[in-house]
Amino acid sequence: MSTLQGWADLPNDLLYSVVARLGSFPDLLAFAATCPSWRASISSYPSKSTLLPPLLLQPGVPACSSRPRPRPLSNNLVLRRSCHVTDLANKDTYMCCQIPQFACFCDSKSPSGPLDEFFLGSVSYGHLVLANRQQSCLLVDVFTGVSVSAPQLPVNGRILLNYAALTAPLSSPNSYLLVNVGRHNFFSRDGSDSWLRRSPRNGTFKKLVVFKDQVFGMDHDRMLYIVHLEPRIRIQKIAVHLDGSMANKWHLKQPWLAACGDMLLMVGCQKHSPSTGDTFEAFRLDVSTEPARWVKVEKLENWAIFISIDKRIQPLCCMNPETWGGRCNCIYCCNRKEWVAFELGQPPQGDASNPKVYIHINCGSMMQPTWVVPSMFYSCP
Amino acid sequence: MATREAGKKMIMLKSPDGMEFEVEEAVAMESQTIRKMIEDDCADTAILIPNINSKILSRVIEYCNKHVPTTGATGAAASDTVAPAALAEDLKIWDAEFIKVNRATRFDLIQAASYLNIKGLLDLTSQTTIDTISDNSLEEIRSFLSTKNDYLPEEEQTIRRENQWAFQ
Repeated sequence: MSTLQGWADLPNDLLYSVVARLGSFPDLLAFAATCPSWRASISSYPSKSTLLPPLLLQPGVPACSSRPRPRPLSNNLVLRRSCHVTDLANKDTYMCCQIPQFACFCDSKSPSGPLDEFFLGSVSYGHLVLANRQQSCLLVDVFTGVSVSAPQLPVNGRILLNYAALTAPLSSPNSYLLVNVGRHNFFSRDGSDSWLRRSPRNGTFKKLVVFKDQVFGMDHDRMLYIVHLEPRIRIQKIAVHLDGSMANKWHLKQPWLAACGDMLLMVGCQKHSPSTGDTFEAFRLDVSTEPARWVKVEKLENWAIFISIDKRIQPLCCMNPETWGGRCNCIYCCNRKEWVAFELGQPPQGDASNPKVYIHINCGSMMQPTWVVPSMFYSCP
Repeated sequence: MATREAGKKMIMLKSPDGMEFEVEEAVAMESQTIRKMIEDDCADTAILIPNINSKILSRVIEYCNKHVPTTGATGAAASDTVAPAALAEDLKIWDAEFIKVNRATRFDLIQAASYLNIKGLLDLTSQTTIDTISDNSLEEIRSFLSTKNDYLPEEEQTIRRENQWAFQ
């Protein structure tokens, strides 16, 4: 009956209906590998990064070592370390990826490699952002190992990368790398050979989130900004009133900015490191009033949020977590060994079957358990 | 169906190869595409279903017939006597048998499900496609789907690199 030649010619809306039902990242990858038209349908699928739960990357889990390590495809000089990859949607599936060995992995026993002096700045859009004290800066794709050099950081002397984030997936035209070194923020467009210094008036960005194609930043003083990238980088302060339930701007000890569909959220709890008995709260940015307002959110609706141990790493979101056995309205945190879901507004209670949990939120040069969506699953606008 | 009452409104569906199928309106309305035609009053005599031959159309009708009592507008009539869980289980087994067809038929069914907008059948045919993808190597999938490897060598290299971690 068909006027079509074969499976490769299926129309995009039909391919979309298959894509929407794919239950794991490996299935998505296999689907995309089949033929160019299927790959194109994955590429153009909207918000695919929130279809599935992010993968939990755990460095240095010994289970990896018993398996033969695949040979790295690209740079053979870079030593690699195995990371255990957990997919919440397929918990029984064993996966492993190789990330470069950088400073935090080095001990007296490990052979020295070219990235031994590099420290972690953040993980953003599936890339590790690394820098060394000699101003070199590097982006490494977590899952493919492909690395891209950023320009030499424009700071004299020994530097420390305090914070880093991408403003869009690396291959997209509005992808800028933002870094915080010393007392300033610098921006560099993907492929450019220079940095542009642009900081908020009284500090530096500590958080960045992209919401409805706009880049929002927050500084150390909880002030919110819009970062306009075009025609030139411009930082615009947004006055935001606090919700009545917030005692002051420090209400959340450790805030995260998360984009959940139509909501730009500030999420966190009143302790720096959440543990059993602590309550996560969320506030939505309401721009319908002048000035804008943080409004308390009772439910995340059909969303779940994933928070990594390293507080610099952007939270990731997943829509309809029930489809893979997850729970909506939950904040998934990971600690050294496992993950814990905190229901919004409902502090988990410890008992015999639920031992006390403690999530040690911090930031440092170490590679810690991190939620990651592979870079190829971000839609390029 | 044994419980079918007399006097139900019937709809005539025509395939492009000239076959006619008389089906209950409720069964036909499992297809959102046909439902819209009926609701828009475009269906006074017979509805021509383009692109779907009689062989596939009869299978689609068979599917809709089986699924209509639990999901259709006629409501939960069947579940009065049978427990919903048992009914769902029965349907699942039936679906599994239904989709045991060769790949050409499956290809026609997925297109028909998409064109006629029948959610359950689209779910079923999509899931079967996904199972094929999950359970086989890339070469097997390509051969099953009869798609040539149309990637340039460097594209193929990129894909292998992207997929390496997931398929060790």
